[in-house]
Amino acid sequence: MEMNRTKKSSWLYHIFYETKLGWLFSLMVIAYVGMGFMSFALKGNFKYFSPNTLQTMAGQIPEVGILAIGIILPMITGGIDLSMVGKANLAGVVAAAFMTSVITETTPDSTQMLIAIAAILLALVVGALAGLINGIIISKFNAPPLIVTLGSNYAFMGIAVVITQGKSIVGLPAAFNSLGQGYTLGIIPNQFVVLAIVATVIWFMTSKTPYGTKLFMTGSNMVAAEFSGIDIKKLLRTTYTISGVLAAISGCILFGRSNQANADYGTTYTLQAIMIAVLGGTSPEGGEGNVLGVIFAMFTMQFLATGMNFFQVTNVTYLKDIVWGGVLLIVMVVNYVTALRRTKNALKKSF
Amino acid sequence: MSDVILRAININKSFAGVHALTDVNLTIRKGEVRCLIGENGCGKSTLIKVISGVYTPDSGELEVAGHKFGKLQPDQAMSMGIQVIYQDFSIFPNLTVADNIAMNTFRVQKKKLINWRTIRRKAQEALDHLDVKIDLDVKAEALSVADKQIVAICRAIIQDAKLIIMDEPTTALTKKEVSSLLDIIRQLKEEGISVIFVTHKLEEVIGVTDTVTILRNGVCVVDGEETSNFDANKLAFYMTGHEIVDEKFVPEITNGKELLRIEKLSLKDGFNDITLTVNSGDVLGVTGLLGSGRTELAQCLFGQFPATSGEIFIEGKPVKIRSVKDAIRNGIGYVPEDRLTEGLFLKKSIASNIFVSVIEKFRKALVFSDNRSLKATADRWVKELLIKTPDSENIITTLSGGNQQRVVLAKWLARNPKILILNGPTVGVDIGSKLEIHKVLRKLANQGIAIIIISDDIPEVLTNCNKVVIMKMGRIVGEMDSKVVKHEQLAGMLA
Repeated sequence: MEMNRTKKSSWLYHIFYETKLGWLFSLMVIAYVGMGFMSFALKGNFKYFSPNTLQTMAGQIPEVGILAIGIILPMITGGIDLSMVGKANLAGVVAAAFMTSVITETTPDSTQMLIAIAAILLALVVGALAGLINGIIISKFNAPPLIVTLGSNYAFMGIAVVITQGKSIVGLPAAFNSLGQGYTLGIIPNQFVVLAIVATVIWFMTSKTPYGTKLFMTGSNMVAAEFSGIDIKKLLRTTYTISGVLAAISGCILFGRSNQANADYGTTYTLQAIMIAVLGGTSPEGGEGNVLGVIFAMFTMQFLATGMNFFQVTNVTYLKDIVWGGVLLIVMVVNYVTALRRTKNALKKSF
Repeated sequence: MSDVILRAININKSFAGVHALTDVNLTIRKGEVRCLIGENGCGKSTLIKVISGVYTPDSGELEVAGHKFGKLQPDQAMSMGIQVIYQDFSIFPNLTVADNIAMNTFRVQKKKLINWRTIRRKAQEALDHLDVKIDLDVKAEALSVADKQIVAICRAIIQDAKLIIMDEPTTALTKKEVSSLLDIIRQLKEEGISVIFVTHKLEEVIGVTDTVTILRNGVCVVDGEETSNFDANKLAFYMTGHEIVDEKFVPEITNGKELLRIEKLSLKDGFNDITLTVNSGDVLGVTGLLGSGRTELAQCLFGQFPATSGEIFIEGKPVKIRSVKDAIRNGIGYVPEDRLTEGLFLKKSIASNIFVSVIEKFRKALVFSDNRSLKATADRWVKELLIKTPDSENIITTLSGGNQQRVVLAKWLARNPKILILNGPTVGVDIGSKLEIHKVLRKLANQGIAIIIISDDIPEVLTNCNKVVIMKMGRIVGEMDSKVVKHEQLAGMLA
């Protein structure tokens, strides 16, 4: 009790104890150091710890990472968004189609830059609209988000297929590709900078604004939230719209990195994003979740995946899936046990 | 003594260091109807769960029909004839009445095959035995609460129950249903079946029970004394440990201005032609049985269901209330009937449960919330309403029912409502907290808020309201001054 009081003022204490992120942070560190030493034991070198490796990882994280941040918002309201990849692809494809139709070989670089920016803005608008459609259906008809977004995911992908006519759109301008291939200050992958900005903005939105507070309250009890004067319909619309914008950002990075736009790219990313979100402390029942936890979770997963690449075991992907799945299950059990202990402690204190 | 069915000796049980039961003794004889009474959290439920084998006591002994047990398994307890009818969990809603009544006997007798004809016959016998008529083939979910209870009682009977424990059986029953339940209990008693009747409603107890056990903070303060020695005030004294004085509410504001007036308000399938006025400083009681339209009226005024016809005036001006947002904007606050599912955010802190209604009001630099002011607002109301907690950052579930209800109240008071509608404000709240809540409501009325209490608790309405409206079948059938009307008179008008 006494210790509790003195520590309470520290923000570190707040982040690592009160938001229950301490051990998730430890897990991330253990994953990094552990994988490094294991690859040393197997391969005899410390390449895993090299700046190059870090740079590669920083380039790989953002695609799924931004999707994961985008998916926690609907999850906090107690819903889910299975259409993240659908929206990402649709937005990316629209941007790509716009650019390839406007840009010719003779277009000067400076104009291409402007067109790329316009295309990205267009992608954001498409993503926002796609998200808004989800939000309207979910809020207006009180439809289960799982079903709505499952359906809309196919619809969005279908529209993207129509636009691309089933082919890949290639020949994207360099200015656009730099979003997924360039480096800031020569070392930090651009997409990682975008991830950092997105994470910061969403962190502020969820923890420092009225919107954030309402988001968590609504997820905790939707009826009580409505009875407390929160406009739930508006909140759901806003939430799904924001998740659409984030999906669009991820889509642009995705296609910028691969230099082509595809209607059915990264279909496994949705489930990965959900896994990262849940690992990061987002409750599938709603009312709980935070950006920082998701960041720790995405790093943990990346460290594990890259580490296993370094072992060069055959069938690495399969091994990776086992490890990812295993980590998630272990974390769920630990979460359950700690939550139980917390409740008991809180009860004890209140008497 | 051979007629002792159950003896519990020096039972101790604690959870997470909190003593739920301390050296509790209980002796039940054949055919005895015992009332187990006490405030919420006094250990009633824990004691029942120890007797029925759900909890293992930390120390102490149970003696059932002469056999001693250190601990009892739920299966053992049942085969020894101890049957518990819990508030909500006794019935399988997806099974038929016949299945619900007879199924468990097969399980207990460890039969592998089920004979459907025997099930029906046995179930019918049990119903006939109690002289009630319920269709055997109806699914249990379609039954009223009262019928569900009868089904549960039948099930207990055909399992040769010697002791039936009913956990707050009357909470969701109408007055008429309560009296037929009490008839059944009398019949059980004549057949030599003992009953433990758990309740916290004082007035029901006195008529049927032989003896009474009162628990307070896990300690047995009255152990099996004759019920006839007690009256409501004495029971309340033992339950709370202090004298309870019922003082009638007399409004301090006598000519307050009109805050809410509704004229010929109707809601399809809800209520018809309701006209009433509430002034500043008034406490209006709306009472009626379940299904009389009282809840619908509250929900309509709070914008959950827009009225189909009629007019609503607030401070003399006509307003349209088509959504909860409209109602709140017009200064109406609503404390819902079901605190847990409609009023509280169970995963969240006490503070956020209070400041949720004013999130938009405190901002910094336009976009950011002023979390410090929000917390300060919550803390102010925690202090004002004497909510018992060491820290408002604690999760809401650490509070007792009465304190939780005060949090719901605080949520609205933080918004300075003009009109506060409370639907069953003290359901499931112990006497001590009940009085505290009443005190708060009176104070608010005297500060000029118009208060509407919707309740079927007649004494509550009579002592705390200055005007009473009685609803029946969606209509107002009487409107009276609570100074004049008597308890019996009001009860008569309800039925």
